[in-house]
Amino acid sequence: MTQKDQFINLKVVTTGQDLEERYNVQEPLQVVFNRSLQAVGGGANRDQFTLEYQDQPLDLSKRISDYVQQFGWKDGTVLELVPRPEVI
Amino acid sequence: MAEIRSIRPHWAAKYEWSPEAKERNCWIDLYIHFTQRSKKAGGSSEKTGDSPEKPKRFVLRLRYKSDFETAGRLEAFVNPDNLEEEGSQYWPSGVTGFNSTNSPPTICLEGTWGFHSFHHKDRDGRRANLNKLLMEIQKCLNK
Repeated sequence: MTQKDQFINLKVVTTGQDLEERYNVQEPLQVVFNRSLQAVGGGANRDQFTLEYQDQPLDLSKRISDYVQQFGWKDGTVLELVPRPEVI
Repeated sequence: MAEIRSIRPHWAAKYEWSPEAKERNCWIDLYIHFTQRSKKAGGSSEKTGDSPEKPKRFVLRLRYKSDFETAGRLEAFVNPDNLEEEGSQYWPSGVTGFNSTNSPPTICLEGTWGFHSFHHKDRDGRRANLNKLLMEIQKCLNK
């Protein structure tokens, strides 16, 4: 694996600001999720959002590289931070 | 109005919301088009074997009065073919949190008038985010 292959630029679209950042593919997706939460008010909202790709919720315990292999993610791939409706 | 202009193009394009604002004398009406794509209404039926139904169209009107930040945005579904007509017949049925039989009908999601001025008067509306509200409504319709 080359140095270039060890990192990936991922864009996360949220209901706040969008983020585009560089990640080590060996990191768990939880890292991307945590960073994205900051755009929508921080970790207190953790349970109100899911991280999705093409409308499918992602497993935050998996490594980014797992999804690179599964879906062919490359630089610029777009993920979505999607709110869970809170009907109370 | 700044909040209406803040609707994110990504979500609006993905779900074809076609937001449209109309300034009235004492308030602003925001119209958002929704398409219900649940398996009950036009979603994938490959797994269930159910025959797909045609996707249903709804138009939500959010009315912005001067106190909307605390009282919430006054919600009503209107006739998709005539935005001046409202009534419970234009509301989606069987959607959790959508109370078409209330008087007035309400949506129990943070950011609406129904949430902050009817169901949960103790909840501060100032932190509600329009994009989050619209996404939650879209998600509720898609369930």
